[in-house]
Amino acid sequence: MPFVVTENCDACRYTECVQVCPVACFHADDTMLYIDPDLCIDCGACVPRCPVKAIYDAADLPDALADWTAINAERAPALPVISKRQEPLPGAAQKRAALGLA
Amino acid sequence: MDGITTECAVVGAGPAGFYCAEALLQAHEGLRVTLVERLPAVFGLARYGVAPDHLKLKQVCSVFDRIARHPRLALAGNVDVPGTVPLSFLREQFHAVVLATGAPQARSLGIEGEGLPGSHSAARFVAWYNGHPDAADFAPGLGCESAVVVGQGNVALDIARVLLLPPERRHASDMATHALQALAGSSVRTVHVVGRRGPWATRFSVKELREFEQLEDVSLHIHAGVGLAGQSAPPDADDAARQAGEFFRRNAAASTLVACNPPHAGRNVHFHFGLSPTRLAGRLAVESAHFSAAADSGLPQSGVCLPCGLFIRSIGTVSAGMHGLGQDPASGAIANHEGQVLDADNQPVDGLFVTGWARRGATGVIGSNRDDGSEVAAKVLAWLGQCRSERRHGRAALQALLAMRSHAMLDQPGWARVDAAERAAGAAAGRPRVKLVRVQELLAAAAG
Repeated sequence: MPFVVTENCDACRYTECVQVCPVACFHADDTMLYIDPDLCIDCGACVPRCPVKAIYDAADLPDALADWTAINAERAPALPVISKRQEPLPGAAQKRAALGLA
Repeated sequence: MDGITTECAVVGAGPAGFYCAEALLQAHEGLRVTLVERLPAVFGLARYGVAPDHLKLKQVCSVFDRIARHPRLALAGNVDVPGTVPLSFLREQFHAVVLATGAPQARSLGIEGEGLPGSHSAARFVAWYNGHPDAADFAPGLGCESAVVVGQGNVALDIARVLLLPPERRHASDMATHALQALAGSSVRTVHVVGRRGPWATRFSVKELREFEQLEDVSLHIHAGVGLAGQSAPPDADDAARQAGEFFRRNAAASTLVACNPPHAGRNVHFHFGLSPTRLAGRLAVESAHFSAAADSGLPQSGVCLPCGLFIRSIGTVSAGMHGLGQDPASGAIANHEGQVLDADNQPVDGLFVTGWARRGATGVIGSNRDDGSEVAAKVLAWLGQCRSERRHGRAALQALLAMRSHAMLDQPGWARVDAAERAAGAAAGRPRVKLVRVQELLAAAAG
């Protein structure tokens, strides 16, 4: 099962994950990242890098986040690849703190 | 060549070498990279380390293949440093040299009986089932009923799983033909995975642990000492260790009864915790492994003995070092400061860098090397910017030297022919590929 980016990334977009993706399968829109499931090789290198714990193995996705598998598959191919780290979005630190993950 | 002002050599065509080469090429249009590799085959541990049944993970090789075809990169395989050319030659002819030579040397336990037949390092066993030329003549000895794997990382899990895979799963993998044949005749029915740490402090990934639940006809037994079922993760456990611990807790309840019954008729994998190996015993070969128990493990303080005819230590590897360079005693890495190599006196060595496991020790996954490769490439570029260096012959000098000696070198088209030959043989056998194992076979296929 591929890995999936979920709602914690939205409005944070830390991008620590993209720097360790061996196959450059992350794509970005203005607010968050998505993983292309056709390219993801299931290595899991991105998971521990995410400061807001947004990335899950699709097999482990909590029910409340189940929709994100389809959202990643649909959105990723239409968006540009991001393979180098960027500054997080303004407000990322506040959202992280609000999630109790700071 | 037009516009080329800077010649870089990267030594080692594994993930670290490829990612660093890519970062160098992207950073500077006037730079070209010669990727020097000891074997007449590329991809390092992506080919020779990743488990043969993890085919999806191996798709990363398509990324390396794309880098190998970059117009400013040339592959120079079958070129050993220092066996074929000394490091000093590369340092004279290239503006910068990056070592990406990995960590190929297995650590030792330093216990009595470690040298007995039947006792092997994980590095050697993995190299064998993955068809590494250095392990072509290795014979692990699979005539025993029980095997012990010491270690609590994913390599230990790979080895245990490969020993227990059903025939059709072995066939569908890209394991070497010699390993396929040896495992078809294997008597190993039980594998003990044993480690010093407790169930909440391992380096196993839960993803890989779960693969044992999906192996038909393999029973899982958790020997977790006192009270695992009621325990929760210690607060300092990281997410990965916690998930592995939860896997053991979930399975411990189910396996308690099984463990008390006579040995399961099928195949078994046992996980043991809090045990440190103290000696291997046997007259002509390994017959049993002896362990001391951690004080808080709830195990008999007299220790534990596991009968086994195969004993594999999966306790990490260190870099091979290189003459005149320092080595970090703890990580086994080539001594360096942020990727800049240091000599035996801790002084920076001009124009010499290190990346990947050779830089930071044998830790991290394939993708960690992308981060590492970019960082080191930035260091290389900064250094190149400071030194107004004269023209160097670089790649042309290396190729001329090899041609003068009639030394067979693997270039990218040669590798493409090896790859095509292996895939064609695989297609004929109903397998993903049939690996060529011996150096001469690889060179013959490369020559076309």
